[in-house]
Amino acid sequence: MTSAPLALAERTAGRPAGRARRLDPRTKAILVLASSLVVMAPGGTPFIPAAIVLGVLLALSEGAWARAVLLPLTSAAVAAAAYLLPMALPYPVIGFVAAFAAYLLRFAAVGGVALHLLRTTTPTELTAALRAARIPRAITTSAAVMLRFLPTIATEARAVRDAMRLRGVGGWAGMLRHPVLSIERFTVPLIASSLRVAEDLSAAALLRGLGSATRPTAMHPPRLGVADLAAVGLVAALVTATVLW
Amino acid sequence: MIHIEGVRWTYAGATTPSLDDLTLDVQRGETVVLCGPSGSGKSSALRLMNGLVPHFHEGRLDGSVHLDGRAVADLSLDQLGRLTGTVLQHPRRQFFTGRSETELAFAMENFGEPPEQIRERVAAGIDEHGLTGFAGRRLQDLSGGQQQQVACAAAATHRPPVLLFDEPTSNLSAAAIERFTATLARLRADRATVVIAEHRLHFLRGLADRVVVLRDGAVHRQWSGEQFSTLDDDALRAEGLRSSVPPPRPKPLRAQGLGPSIDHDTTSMTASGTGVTLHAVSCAFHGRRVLDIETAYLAAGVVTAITGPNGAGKSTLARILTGLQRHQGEILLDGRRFTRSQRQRAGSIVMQDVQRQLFTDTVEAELRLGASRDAGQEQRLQALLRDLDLDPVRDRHPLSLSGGQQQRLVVAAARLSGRRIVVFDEPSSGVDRRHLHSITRVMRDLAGEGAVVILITHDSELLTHTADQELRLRPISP
Amino acid sequence: MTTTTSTERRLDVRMSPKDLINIGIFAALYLVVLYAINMIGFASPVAVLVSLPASIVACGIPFMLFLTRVHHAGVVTIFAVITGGLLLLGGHPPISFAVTIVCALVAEAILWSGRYRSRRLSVLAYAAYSAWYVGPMLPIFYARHDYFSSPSMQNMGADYTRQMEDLLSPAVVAAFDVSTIFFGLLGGLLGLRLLRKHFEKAGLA
Repeated sequence: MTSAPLALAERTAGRPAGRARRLDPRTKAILVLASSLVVMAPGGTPFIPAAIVLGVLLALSEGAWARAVLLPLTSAAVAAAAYLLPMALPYPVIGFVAAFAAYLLRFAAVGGVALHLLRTTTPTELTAALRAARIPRAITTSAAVMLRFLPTIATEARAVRDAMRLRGVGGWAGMLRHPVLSIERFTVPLIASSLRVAEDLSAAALLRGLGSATRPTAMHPPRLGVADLAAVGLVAALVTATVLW
Repeated sequence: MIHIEGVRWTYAGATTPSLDDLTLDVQRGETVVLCGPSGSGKSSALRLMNGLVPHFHEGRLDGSVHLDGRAVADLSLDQLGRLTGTVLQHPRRQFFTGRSETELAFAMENFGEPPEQIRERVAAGIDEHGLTGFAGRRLQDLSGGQQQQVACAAAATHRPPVLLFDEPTSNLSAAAIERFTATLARLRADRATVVIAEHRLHFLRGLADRVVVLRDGAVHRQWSGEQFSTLDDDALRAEGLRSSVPPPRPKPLRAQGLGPSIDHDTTSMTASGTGVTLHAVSCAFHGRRVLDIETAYLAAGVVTAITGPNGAGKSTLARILTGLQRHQGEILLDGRRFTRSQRQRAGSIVMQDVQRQLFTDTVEAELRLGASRDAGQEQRLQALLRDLDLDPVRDRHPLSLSGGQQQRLVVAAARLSGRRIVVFDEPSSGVDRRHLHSITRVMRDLAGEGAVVILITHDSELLTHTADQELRLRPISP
Repeated sequence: MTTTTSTERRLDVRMSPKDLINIGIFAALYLVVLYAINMIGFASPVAVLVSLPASIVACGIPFMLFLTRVHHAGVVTIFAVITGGLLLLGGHPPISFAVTIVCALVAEAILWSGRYRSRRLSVLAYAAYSAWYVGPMLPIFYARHDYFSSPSMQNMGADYTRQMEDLLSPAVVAAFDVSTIFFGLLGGLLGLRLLRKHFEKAGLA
C-alpha cells in the first residue's frame, strides 16, 4: 500500500538551467492533493481518466518515458481486473479482489501524479517549499530530518538483512517459525545502527542551526512561474472536459 | 580563543569520567593536535569545544569552558555553531543534503542569512576548497576524500573562527590525506583556530603548532610543533601512538586477476589450488556496470586485501563472494561450483558499522549465535574473549559496549563462525594500536585454518602488516 | 560550576530542536520498518495477511522507544502529521491523513493522562495510534456505491451485488479496525519488552 516515498530523488538538483521550466514544489504538492481529494472521494471514479492524463503529461514533462507508457497500461490492466474479471468469474472471492482492484485504480491514478512530485523534488527543495508555504517550524524541521533519514535508514535495513542472512537468522522459514524473534532480530540492530548514524547527523545539524528560533532562508527561494500557471490551466481544462463529458 | 579549566565530564550512564581535570588553552590562530589512545578523551574534548558537551550529550559537567570569552554553558547550540565549524569522523554521516552546493548553504540558510550572501559564499567555498570538479555529483557517490573536502568546506562556509576535526583521516587514502593537509595549511594561513583529534600523526608534521597527548581524560604531555617533528617512532610508541613517519609503500603480492575492474596486470594465471575462483563475474546496478572481472583467484589460507578507490566495486565484490549479491558469471570453491546460497552459508562479514550485526543481549550469547558447535569451540571462545579483551564485559549487552569493543565482538563472532570466507570491511577505523594487532592476529588465525580471508581497507599500515596479497580494483570507465 | 543534562524535562509544548530532530528520526524509522515488513506482503495477497499484522507489531518497537525519548505534548501529533503527510503526498487518500491525525490525538490524550511518562499508557497509546491502518482502506468502503453502480456491475445481477455489499459493510471495517488495535497492543507490549531487554541496557532508552 505504501507507494515508495523512499525514492525522493536528488538527481534533478544542481541543474539551475532547468529551474525556470520546472514546476514549483508547492504546485506539485497541490496537484497531488487536488487529484487525491477528487479521485478518492465518493463519486470520484469519473475523474480517474483525467488524473491519469495529468500523470502522463507530468511524466512526459520530466522525461520519464517509461512511466508515461506504464501508467496508462497498468491502469488499464487494473481496470480490467476491477470491471471485467467478475463477469468472467462471478465468485465472491474474485468479487472482493475486483473491488480491491477498483480501489487500486484510484490509487494508481493519484500515484502517477504523486510520483512526479517524489521523483523530481529533492528533500531540500521540499523542505524549502514547506517553509515557503508557512507551515509551522516544528513540522518543517522534523519533516526535513525524516526526509533526510529515509534513504539512510533504508540502507541500514538492507545491511541488517544481509547480516541476518549470513548469521543464518533471516529468511522466510525463520519468519514463519519465529515471527516475533525475527521481528526482534531485524528491528533491534536496525534501530541501534540507525540511532548511531543519527547521532552524528543530529549533532552536526544542531550545530548548523537546524530547528533554531531564527527563521531560515533559502539559497534559491522557490518561486511560482509560467509553468505553474500552465499547470493550473491544464487542470482546469481536464476538469471541464470530465464534467462536460 | 578556547579556555578549558578543570573540566570533569561523565556521560550519563557511565561510571568513570571521560574527562578528568582537563585544563587546556588554545590561542587564536593556533593549530593544536589532540592525540592519545582510544578512550583517552580526544572526542569528548572536541565536543566540549563546540558545546555538544553538555548541550547534546547527556551527563555531568564540572569546571568551566569559554569560547571567545563566552561561557559555553550559557550559549545555545546554534549560537555555538556560529562560532565553530565541526568535521566529524565520517563526513557522509554529517551531510544533511544531497549535493555540495546545498550542503555548503545549509548552515547559512538555518542562520537566516540573506539568499544573495549565501549564493556568494557558497560559490566562493566551492572554488576555494577545490570542489568544482565534482560539485554537480551526488555526495554519496563521491570518494571518501572528496566527501571530506565537502565536509571541510561546509564547516567553513559560514566563516566560524574555530574549526574542529575529529579523526579526519581515518578513512582517507594517501592522496586524499595530502589534499586534506593542503586544506589545513590554507585554514592555518587564514588565521583560523584549528583543533584536530587524530591518532595518525605522520601528515601533521610542520602543520601543528602544538601536540597534546591526552590520557585518561587529562593532558598527559605536550610538545611544541618543533619538538614534535624531532621525535622518533619509539618515543611515539611509548605513548601508545601510531607512527608519525609515513609508512613505507606496502608491497604485498598481486593477487591473480584479469578484467576491466582489475587495476594491475597479472603475468600469467597459474592453475589454482584451494580457494575461490571467479570466472567472467560482472554486476550492474540500474544498467551501469560496477564490477567486471574476467578471472580472479583468491587463495585459501592467505589474507587478500581488496583495495581501490570508492566506486571501484570493493563492497560489491565482497557481497558477491558472500552470496548477498546477484551477479553474472561463475564462482568456484576449491574447483567445484559454489552457488549463491552455498556462499551465504559459507560467508561472514565484519561490517564497517558493526551495530548492524549485533542481535542478542549479552556478549556471550552473541558469540554463540550462529556459531558452529564442534568440539574445542568452547575453549576457542574463552581464549578469544581473553585475547580480544572482552572477558570483563562478557555479560554486558553488546550495544552498551564502546565502538571498539563492539567491533572486536563481531570479529570474535566471525572467528567462531567456522566460515570458509570471512570479509573484514575497514576494520581499522577508530581502533588503536594494541587492538589493531589483536584483530590482525584473528585474521592470521583464520587464514591459518584455511579460510579465504578478505580485507577491504584504505589503511596502508594495516595493509602492510596483514595482507599477503592485494587485489587492486578500479572503477570501470564508461 | 556543575551542569547536569538529562532527559528529565518539564511537560512543555515548546519543543527543543533536539526533540524535533528525534521526531524526524523516529518517523523515518517507523516508515522504513512499515515498508520493509510490508515488502514481504507484495509477494502474494495471502502474504499480506501475515505482513500487515506483522508490520503493526514491528512498528511498535521504534514507537515505544520514541515515547521514552521525547516527553512533550504534541510529539505524536507532529509524528502523525509528517508520516501521514508524506504518505498523503505519495498518493494515500486524504481521509487516511485525517484518520491518522484523529488516532494521534487519541494517543496524545492517553499519554497526557500519564504525563507522558507512563509506559503502560504508552502501550495503549500505540494501540490507539495503530488504528490509522484502516485509513488507506476506507475508500473501498465509503466509495463502494461508485463501484456497484458502474455499468459492468449492473450486469452482475442484484444477488451478486448484495453479497458484495455485505462483504464491504461497516461491520467489516469495524472488525478490521479492532484487529489493528489488537495487533497494536501486541506491538506495544513487544516494544516494552525489548526496551527492557535491549534498549535500556544499551543506554538508548
